[in-house]
Amino acid sequence: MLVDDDKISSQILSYILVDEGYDVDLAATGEAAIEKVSTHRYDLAFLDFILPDMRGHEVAKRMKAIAPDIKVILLTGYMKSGNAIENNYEKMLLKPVPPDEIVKAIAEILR
Amino acid sequence: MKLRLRLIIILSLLIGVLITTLYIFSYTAIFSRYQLIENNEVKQELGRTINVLDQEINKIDSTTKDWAKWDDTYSFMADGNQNYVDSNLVTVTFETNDVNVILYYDSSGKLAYGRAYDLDQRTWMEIPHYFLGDLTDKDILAVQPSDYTKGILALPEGAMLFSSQPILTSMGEGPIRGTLVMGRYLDDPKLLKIAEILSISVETRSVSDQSLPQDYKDALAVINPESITPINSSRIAGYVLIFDFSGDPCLILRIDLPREIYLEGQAALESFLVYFIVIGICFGAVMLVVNDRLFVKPITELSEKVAEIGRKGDFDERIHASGDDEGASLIRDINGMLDSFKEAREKELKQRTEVENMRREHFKELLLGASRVINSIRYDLRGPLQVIRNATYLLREDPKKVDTLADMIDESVESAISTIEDLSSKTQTGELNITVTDLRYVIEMAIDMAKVPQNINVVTDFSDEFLAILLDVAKFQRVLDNLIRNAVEAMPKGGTLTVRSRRMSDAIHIEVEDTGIGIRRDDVGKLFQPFYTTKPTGTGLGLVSSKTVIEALGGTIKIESTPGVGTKVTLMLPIRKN
Repeated sequence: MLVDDDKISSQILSYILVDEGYDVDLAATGEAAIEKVSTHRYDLAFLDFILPDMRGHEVAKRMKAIAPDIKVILLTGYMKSGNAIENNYEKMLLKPVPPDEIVKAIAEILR
Repeated sequence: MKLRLRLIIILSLLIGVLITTLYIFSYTAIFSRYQLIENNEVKQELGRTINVLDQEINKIDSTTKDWAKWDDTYSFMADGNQNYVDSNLVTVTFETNDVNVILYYDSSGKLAYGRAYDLDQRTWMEIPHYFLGDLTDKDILAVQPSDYTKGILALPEGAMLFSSQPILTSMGEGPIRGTLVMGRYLDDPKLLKIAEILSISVETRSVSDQSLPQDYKDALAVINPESITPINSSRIAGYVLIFDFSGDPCLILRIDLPREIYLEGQAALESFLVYFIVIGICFGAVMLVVNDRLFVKPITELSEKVAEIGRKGDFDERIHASGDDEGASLIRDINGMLDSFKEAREKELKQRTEVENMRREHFKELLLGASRVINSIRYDLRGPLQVIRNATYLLREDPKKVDTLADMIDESVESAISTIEDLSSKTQTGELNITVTDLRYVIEMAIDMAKVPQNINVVTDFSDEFLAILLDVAKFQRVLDNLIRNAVEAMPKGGTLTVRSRRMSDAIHIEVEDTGIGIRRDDVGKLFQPFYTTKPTGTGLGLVSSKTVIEALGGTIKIESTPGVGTKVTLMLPIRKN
């Protein structure tokens, strides 16, 4: 599942992932994403760090509370120092990340 | 001018005045007294001279008396015997008794016998005309046994000391057989003798002398009864009138003596002057030394010390003050001043440090602000850049999607441009471009452009259907856009955005109100500080630029907020007349 309020961004990434053979679902807000996790099963959530209603790591925390097996990749515009975000995600990528790296990261985590 | 030089001049003047004053004083007080003494001495000498003259007259008188009261003379007047003449009236008699004339008058006043002798030439000479003939009309004739006359006779031949005595027996009995007269010319040899006795120079002149020297004439003019005139600095002359036996002035006697006293006085005065000058110089020198010790040296030392402190700028240094005079008080004052300087400098140093700290703090804030702005740009640009990167990746994988992907790339580029434009609009003030606008239209446009999310309910409330207002539309729209975006961002979970316009008496109030998270009271005050932001990706420039624009339009901006309830921003724009 791709969680991003920027429609173009999530759309183009979905094209790439679909090409790679994944099933892709989209969500524009944190709430929407959490709701989806509680009703469907997802292997991985690809979260934009800044969402209109909450921050990416918060979404990750709540998702993991509902579905502990879900893997999380955070995509962020800027790197926060420290480890306040703890272990609620598997990987963090810094924009703009080359698409092949996104693909590689997802492949590694889902292996 | 240096203190020492000034003092030397003042002291010189002072001592000069002092010496002059003292000199004048001693001249008048001492020298005039010396002159008085000198005058008295001259007067005394004149008195002595007259005394000597009187003694000479008395000597003649005494001889005359001896001869007049003598039986031989008495009988000679009766018989006129030649024997008397031969034995007595000889040259030796004249020389011994120092007389020029011996004359015998009978009781009727006729000259019975007489001889005249020139003592100088030692020859007989003619009897002066005055004594020839009758003496009855002259006062020198003796009528009574007690009659006698003595004194000076002014004769045409010269002044004569004389005596006349009645001729009586040796026992002094009468009847009077006549008058005996003896006389002595007061001639130069006589005067010389008198001068020898007195050891001064003596001269006489007849008052009736037509060729009197000038000094006699001058003396005669003021003589009463004597006159004293200095001849020069070493000699002085005294003049005295001599009267004849009948009391008429006949002679001027002049004496001439050295001015010993005067010279003595002058010498005394000169030595006084020398003493004064020496004392004055000593006094001046002592004053200079005292002045040097008491004033110049301490002042010079103080001046050097103060100059040194000034040069080093060492305000910790203190000058040692001893005693309780004005100098010590000055030093204490200077020390006090140094204390003040030190205090002021420490204060200044502290202030400078504070200013420096503030500047550093401010610089830190600026850096922080700049880094916020950079972060914001980075964040805002990373999204579009990510899209472009993804699009190019896809394009390589599947070139058939070029149209869709190209649109996406364009949109991302637009988004990036708008990010940059937005930031530049916040930092640029620029000229206002005022036009007449409908406020309601402007507000509705702004709401439309802000693309408010679905979960937010937008409410508008306009007091007037149509409200013409003078505005820079583009800038004002950016302000509204900024406020609406802030409001939307404050309501991530939805809420109500209310935009109102109210026409007041002299202003239009525009309110943008949300029901969002609100802002803490402490933070409300900082909202208009550049680079202050409560948002993770904010630049802290939005409200600052809004405030600048509103103020440029002559208005004000106000923020009221309650955490958990919402925030209301009010723009107050003045209604422009005409």
